Amino acid sequence: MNHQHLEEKLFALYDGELSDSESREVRDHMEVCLECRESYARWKRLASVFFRVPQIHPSEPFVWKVMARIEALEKPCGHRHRVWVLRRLVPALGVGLMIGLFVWALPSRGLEVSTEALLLANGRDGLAPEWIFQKEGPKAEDLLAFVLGEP
Amino acid sequence: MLTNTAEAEDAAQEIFIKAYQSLNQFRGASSFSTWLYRIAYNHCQDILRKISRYHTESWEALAEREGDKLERLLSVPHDSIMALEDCELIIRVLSHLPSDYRTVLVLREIEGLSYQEIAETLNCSLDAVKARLRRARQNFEEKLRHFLGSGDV
Repeated sequence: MNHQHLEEKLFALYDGELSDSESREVRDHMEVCLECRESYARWKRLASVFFRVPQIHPSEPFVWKVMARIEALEKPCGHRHRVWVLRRLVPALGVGLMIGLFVWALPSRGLEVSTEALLLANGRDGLAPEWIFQKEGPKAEDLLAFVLGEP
Repeated sequence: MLTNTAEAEDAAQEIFIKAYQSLNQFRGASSFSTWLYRIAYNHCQDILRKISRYHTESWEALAEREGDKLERLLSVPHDSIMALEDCELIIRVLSHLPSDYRTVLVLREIEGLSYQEIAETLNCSLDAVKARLRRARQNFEEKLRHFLGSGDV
């Protein structure tokens, strides 16, 4: 390999990104090439001054600030969750109420027999035995007895 | 990446909040740290775009005013803790690098990311990372070559 090609690998050697065989090749070249040796040493020197920064650990106030902001973000999320629940709960309750009302109304509809319909269907003498009122029975019977003239 | 401590702290806060809000988007395609670096990189790029127009000090002015300090900084061994004044000077010098060069150098030299991790963070190819790193280092060296004594290497 020529000088130009190996010179390009100097930084890769510095970064530890070369394989063992490549590293050996570049190091062998540096042994005999003053220019590459100086170039390598120059960068090492610059990096040791300009990129030798102390490890920064987050201060406690910094951590508190971040955590406080995250907690503040959580609160609206809880509110959104409640709204989400209400948006589904209210229609569900509405539908449930409608079904309940419908079911509650069904038996009473069966008892809604007008006096005229009863008379037309059965006549004065023939009160059908199937007309048995379960809920409002006594009142209806009283009414029928009155209409049919029974004591 | 940012050259101002207050800006960096504010940015760090925003980055953590953004990461928290985007947690459900993390699919595990890359490591969590690379994913976090990508959020940080994008956020810092936005900030740098906004503040780039406020950069007033030229490299020539800085080199002329702080030349002696730079020479001293590069001539003495730095095994001990660096003075605050020196840290500020270093930050000012780094701020004169183009932001894409500064980014790739920070990710490699300070954060210690591998070429592959840098490629994933910056969303570019491995060859692009190598090329950008090489150009960034050459650019940095050219700026400071004058202050590096021949006996220092």
